[in-house]
Amino acid sequence: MPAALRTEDVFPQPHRSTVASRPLRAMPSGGQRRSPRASVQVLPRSPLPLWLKGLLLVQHASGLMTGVLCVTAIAAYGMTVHTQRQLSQATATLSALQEQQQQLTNASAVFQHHLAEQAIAAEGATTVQPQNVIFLEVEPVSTGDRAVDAESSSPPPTVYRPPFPMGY
Amino acid sequence: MVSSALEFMATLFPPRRRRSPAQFSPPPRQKQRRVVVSPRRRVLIVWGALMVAALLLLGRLAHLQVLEGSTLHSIASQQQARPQRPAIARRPIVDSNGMLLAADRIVYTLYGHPMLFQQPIGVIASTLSPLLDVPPEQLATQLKQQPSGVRLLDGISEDTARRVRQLRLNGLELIPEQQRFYPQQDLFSQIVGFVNLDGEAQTGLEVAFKNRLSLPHSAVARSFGSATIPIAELITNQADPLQLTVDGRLQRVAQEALRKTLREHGAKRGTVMVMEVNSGAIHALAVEPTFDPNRYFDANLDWLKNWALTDLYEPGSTLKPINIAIALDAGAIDPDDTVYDDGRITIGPWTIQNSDYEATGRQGTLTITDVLKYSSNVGMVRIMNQMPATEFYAWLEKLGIDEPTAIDLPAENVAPLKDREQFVNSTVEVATTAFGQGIAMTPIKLLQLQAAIANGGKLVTPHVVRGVVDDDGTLKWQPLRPAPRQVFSPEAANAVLKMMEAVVETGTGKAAQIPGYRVAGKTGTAQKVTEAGVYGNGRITSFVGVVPVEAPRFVVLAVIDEPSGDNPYGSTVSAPLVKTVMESLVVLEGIPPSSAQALGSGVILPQVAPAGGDSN
Repeated sequence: MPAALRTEDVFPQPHRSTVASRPLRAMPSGGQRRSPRASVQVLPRSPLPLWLKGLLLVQHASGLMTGVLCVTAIAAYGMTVHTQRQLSQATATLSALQEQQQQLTNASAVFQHHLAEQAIAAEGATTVQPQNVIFLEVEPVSTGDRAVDAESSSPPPTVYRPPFPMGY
Repeated sequence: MVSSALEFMATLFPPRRRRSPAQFSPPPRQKQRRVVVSPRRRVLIVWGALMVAALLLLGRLAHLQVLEGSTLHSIASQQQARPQRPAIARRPIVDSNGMLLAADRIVYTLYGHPMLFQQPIGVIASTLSPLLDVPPEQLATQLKQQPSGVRLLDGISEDTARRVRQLRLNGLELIPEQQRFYPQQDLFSQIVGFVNLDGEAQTGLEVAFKNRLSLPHSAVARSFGSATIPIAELITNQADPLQLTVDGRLQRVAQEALRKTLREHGAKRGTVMVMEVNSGAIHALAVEPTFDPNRYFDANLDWLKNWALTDLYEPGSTLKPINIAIALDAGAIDPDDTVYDDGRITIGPWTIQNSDYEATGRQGTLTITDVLKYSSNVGMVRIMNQMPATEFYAWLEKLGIDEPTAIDLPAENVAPLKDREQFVNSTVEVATTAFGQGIAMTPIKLLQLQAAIANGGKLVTPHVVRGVVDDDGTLKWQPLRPAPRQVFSPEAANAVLKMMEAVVETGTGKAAQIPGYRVAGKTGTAQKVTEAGVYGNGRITSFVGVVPVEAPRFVVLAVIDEPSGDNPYGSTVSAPLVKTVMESLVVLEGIPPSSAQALGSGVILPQVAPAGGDSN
C-alpha cells in the first residue's frame, strides 16, 4: 500500500536514494531519531552520458548567451531612444537658432539703414569729398615673383575711406 | 478547470505536520478526501495559466498594433508634433557690398477660436488690444462673428507674437509665414521692387527675376515629433543671395542729393544714374519720387514705376555729342572743322535759335568744340546738314534708338523712331533732331549712348544684377547678356570726349568741375511739350558727366523734370547734382586725382624711406 501511494520525485535523480539526496537541513521530526554517528555518505554518481553532458553544456552556453543578448538588446533599445531624443532636441535647437539668425540678420540690416539715414540727415550728401581724402600710391613690393611685379606696374592707389557710416 | 485550480491551490498549503522524507505513507485517514494534485499536474496547470495569459497579451497586442495601429499612431504624432517654421520662400537680395536689400521675415497671423475661450470675449479683446494696437471693440466684434477660425490680425512681428503667446490664453492661434522685408526702405525700391502681401512680385527685380528668386518649396509647414527626422528634410534658412552691381553707399548719396536738388528747385521728379562705361554695371540708380516697399499700399500708383526706364523725354542738348560722333564717323565733318553760327535761322515756318541768342545775340564762326561749349543749336543744325538725312536716319537706327537697352529691370519702354519717309523728307525734323528735340528716348537709353562715347564706341548693356553668389562671394550663376557691340569708331568717340571735357572746363558745364579731376560732360535743357502738343514753358534739364577723362570709368546722368524758378538750366540744376554724386563716386571707387599738381596746395608728396631702414 505505501508503495502504491509512493509519489515520484519531480526530478528523477537516478541512482540516488531519497535518504541520501535530502540535504542535511531536513530536521529529524518528532519521533525520528538519527544516530549521531551516522555520516552522510555521498554515493558515487555514475558519469553522465556524453549526449547529456553536451546538452547541458549547450543549455548553459545558450543561457549565458541569452542573458548577454537580453542585456545588449535592452541597451540598444535604450540607445535608440536616447539618440532619438537627442536628435529631436538638437533639431529644436537648430530651429531656434535659425530663427534667431534670421531675426538678427534682418535687425542688423535695419540698424545699418537707420545709422546711415541719421548720418545723411546730420551731414547731408556731401559727407564724402575728394578734398577730405588721402590718396596713397602703393609702391610695388618686389616679392621676387615676376608675374606679380608685372601686374603691379601701375599700382592702384589705396584709399583712406573717411568714416562713412558702416553701421556697426 | 476551476476545481483543479482549487485543488492545486490546496496543495500549496500542506498540513502543518512535516513529513519526513521516508514517510510517503498515506495521509492519516480523514473524513474528507483530499485530492492531491501531482506536482507534474501542478506544473502543467501553472504553465497552462501562463500560456493563457500570454495568449491574452498577444491578442491584445495584435489588436492594438494591427487594428488600432494607425489611429494610435496619428494620436501620438499629434501629441508629439511640433510645427516647423516655414522655410524661406525667396532668396535674399544684397548690394555689391553685401548690404541686405530684401529678405524673408517670419510674420504671424493671429486666429481666434472663441469656442475655446475660458474667459468672456470682452476680457480677451481688452487683453489683446494693447499688444496688437487694435481697439478692443473691433476685436470683440470680429470674435463674435464666428465660433472658430476668426482671423484677427496678420503681419504680426515676432516680438508681438511672443507676447501674445506669453498670455497663455486658450483659443488663440498664431500661424507663421514668411513675408518679404526690405530693410533699406525707400532707397532701393525702384530697383528691387516689391512683393505684395499675397507673396506675388509686382515690380522691379522681384518680378524680373521671379523664377530665380523663388526657392523650391517642400511641403507646407511640416511637423516633426520624436521620430527620427532625415537630415535632408531639415529646413535650411540659408539661400545664396542675388547680388547687385549697385553700391548702397553711392545710392544713398545719390538719392539724398537728388532729393535736395528737387527741394531746392521745386522740381516734379528726377533721376540720377551712375554706370560703369566698360561693363554697363549700374552703380547707382536714384529715382524720385519713390516709395517704401514695406508699405507699398500707402504709395501713389505713379510712384511705383521706375520712370527712368518707362518715360520718354526729349534729351535736348545732351544728344549733341552723339550727333557729332555720328557726323565724325560718317565723314561729314572733321574734328577741327568750323561752322558759321547765325544765332538764329528759319526753316519754313519754324524758327530755330540758340538758347543764348536772345540774351547775347552771339554769332560767328565756331569750331566743333565751341559748338558743344556754347551748346549752339544752329551750329548743330549746320553740322548735321553736312550729311544726308537718310544716312542720319540709318545711324539712328544703328544706335538702336528704337530698341530697348536690354536692362534687366522690367517695364522698359522704347521710343519709336519717326517714320523714315517723314524724317528724311522734312528738313525741320532733321534740324530738331540735330539738337535733341523732336526725338524721344528714355533716360537709360541716353545713358547707354553716352557710355558709348566714353568707352571708345561700344554699346554696352546696362545691368543691375551681378548674379547669384555664395558665402565667399564667388558667382554661382550669372544672367546672360548680349555682348557689347561697336557703334562708333574709337577715334570719333575720343574726339567727342575731348570736346566734352572742354564743355566742363570752359563751357556751360563749369558747375560740374571737381578740382584735381578731369571731368567731361554736357548740359541739356529741353522744352517739354504740353498736352496741346506745342512746346510750353516746362523744361527738363539734364547733365551727363564722364570721369576721369584720361581713362573713362563712369558715366553719370542726372535728369530733373520741370524745375521751377527763374531760369532753370541744365547747368544750374543738374550739373551741381552730378558734381556731388561724382565727388562721392571718386572717393568710393578710389579714383585718384589726375595729377597731384592739379590739386594746388595741400599736396604732400610721400617721403621715400631708405631701403631697409625704418622710421622712428
